[in-house]
Amino acid sequence: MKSVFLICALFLTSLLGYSQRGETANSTQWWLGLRSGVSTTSVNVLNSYSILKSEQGGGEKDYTSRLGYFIGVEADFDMLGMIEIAFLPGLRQVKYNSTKDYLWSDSLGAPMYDLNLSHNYDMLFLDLPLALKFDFVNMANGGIKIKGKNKKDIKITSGGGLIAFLQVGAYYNRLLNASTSIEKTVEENGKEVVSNYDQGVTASYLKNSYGWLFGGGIGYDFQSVRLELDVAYRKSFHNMTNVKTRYSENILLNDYYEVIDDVKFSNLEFAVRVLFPFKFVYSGSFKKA
Amino acid sequence: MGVLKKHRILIFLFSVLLISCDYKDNEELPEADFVKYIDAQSGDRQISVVDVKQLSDGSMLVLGNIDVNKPYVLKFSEKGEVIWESKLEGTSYFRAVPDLIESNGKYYFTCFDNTGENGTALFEIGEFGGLSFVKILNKVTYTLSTSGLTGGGMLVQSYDADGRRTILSRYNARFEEQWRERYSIYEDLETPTIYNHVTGRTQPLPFFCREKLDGANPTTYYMNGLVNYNFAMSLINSSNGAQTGSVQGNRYEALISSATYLGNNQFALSRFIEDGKNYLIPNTQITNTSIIQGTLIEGEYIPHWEDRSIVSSAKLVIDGQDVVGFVGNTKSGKLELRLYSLTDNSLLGTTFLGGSNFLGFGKLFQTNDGGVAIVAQTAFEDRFFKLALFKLSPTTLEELID
Repeated sequence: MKSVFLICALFLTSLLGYSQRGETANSTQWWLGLRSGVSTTSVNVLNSYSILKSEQGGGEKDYTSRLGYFIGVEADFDMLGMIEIAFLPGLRQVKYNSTKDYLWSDSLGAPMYDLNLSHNYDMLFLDLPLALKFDFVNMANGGIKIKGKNKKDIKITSGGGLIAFLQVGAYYNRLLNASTSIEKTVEENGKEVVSNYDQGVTASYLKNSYGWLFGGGIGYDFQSVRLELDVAYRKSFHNMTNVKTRYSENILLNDYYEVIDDVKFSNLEFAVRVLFPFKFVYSGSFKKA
Repeated sequence: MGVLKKHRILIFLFSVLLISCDYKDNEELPEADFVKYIDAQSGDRQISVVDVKQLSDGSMLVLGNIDVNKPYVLKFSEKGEVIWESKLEGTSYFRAVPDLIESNGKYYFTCFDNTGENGTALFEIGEFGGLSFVKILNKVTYTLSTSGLTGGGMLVQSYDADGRRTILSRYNARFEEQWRERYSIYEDLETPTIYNHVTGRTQPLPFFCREKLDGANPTTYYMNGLVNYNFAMSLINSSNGAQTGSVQGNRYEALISSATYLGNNQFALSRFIEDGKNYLIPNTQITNTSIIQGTLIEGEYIPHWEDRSIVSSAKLVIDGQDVVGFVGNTKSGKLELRLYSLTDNSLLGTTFLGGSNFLGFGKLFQTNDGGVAIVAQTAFEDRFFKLALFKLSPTTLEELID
């Protein structure tokens, strides 16, 4: 993760330098920068599986979200200051927990054995989203206004100040790693014993997946740098579980009675973006396309 | 359009990524592998496996005993979901006997009758789990094994304590006795050998009696049991019960532990010797008149199997190849499936089932979809004696023997 931060920092520094060079601008613009934030994961169960059912419990699992992080770069192609095509490659964590409780009683109904299995799933994806951003503040102002006929006289009258945008898009994900950290809690005769076990489960999920995203944000364009805050809702298009390997993790199955359900993920993410114009904009250098 | 043209490489790359998604063929095959731990009872009720049969609709019928000696029948779907379960509570009837009896499309089992003269009771298993008393089998005490017959009826192997004999009885489809034949043992084995076997105090002995299926009207049965001072597998004339051949054991310590008839006088056998070592014989010829010393039949020694392992074997077809499978207990409390070629007796593949939980006797059979299933006794969490179902798909089996 440190190396990712380092690469991003270097990239950012290079942009700062480049943006100061006074490149000639068009009516289009490239914005390059960094995007990072946190995301929650809710699990939508398509089909539930269970390999063990006790007399009480052992039905469907309880899923809860855990906070994951993401970091990446962003490249926005800005068309007339109103619509941007945003490419947001990065690394993304998806984290969630599933819990199942089993209780065995004796024939008279007295509790004998309470077994709780809690799985913390950690997944890391190479995330490649592509989105369209609609800057409705600039839209309301009519986008970039080009005034003047001669090259020397041309002036841009918008493209700075407050930004408010909506975005919609799709993403492709490549699974890099998945693991589960299991906490097994057994209560017997009032005595509780906890044990832990970690297992890689990369093969249990699809390597390639995709979904859609929708969101919006606000920001401020300082001309030479743009700061944005956004929130996005993402949802996978399809089942994320590799059904062909569902029963392939022997220890997970037979010692922890875990078989991964068919699931889709929904993520709510909160991000901060810092973007720099690739072609430095100033009124005197504007070149009409 | 100009923008699209200008960024066609980016659009192309993203399209390639989308197309490369593998979700489209992410569909579970109906015959896929799975594992199921079946527990429809409270924690302190122990269930043991006696026999399993798959029905034509793919569901499976398990005959077992609950709480050591109460007959118990459970039906579960081909995916391992419990459909119904039934048990004979009370003290009138106890301890179901292997095998499940199929007669004219209906299923039956026998158990010990405690209501009269400690005879044998026959029960019918209803379609929805009802257990109906059929009759008491007169003068059949200490029932050791049963099996259904082609065309209806059943065989019953029992021990006659007064006469110190093994008795084989054949019943017709109305469960009327057609004949019974007595095979002298010449010594009293009621206690402790038979008593411990029927009460489950020791590891059960591998009694069985089945027909040699060579056509619609089998002319020979084979019976594993006590005959003439030893535990032998006898070949028996189906019309009168006369013993025509024998694979002899060495007293009661070295004997055949499982047998599957393969056709054309070929058998897949397992046996153990005096010190408990297990040997597997994928294919050997035994004619109806063979007199063979079982310990002389060469087989593969399986050092990691539990001494005197309870073995289940079955003839299987995997990827168009005739295969014989053996399932036995390992010394570490697991089950191992071993697959052998029927053409050259070579080992094709092995796999261990389960995790760290104990696994006991496992019954192996080929499923209707071309896979195999093993229903086994397990002790999950090392304390709850219930059932485990392992299903291996045809694809998994092909990979196993590849």
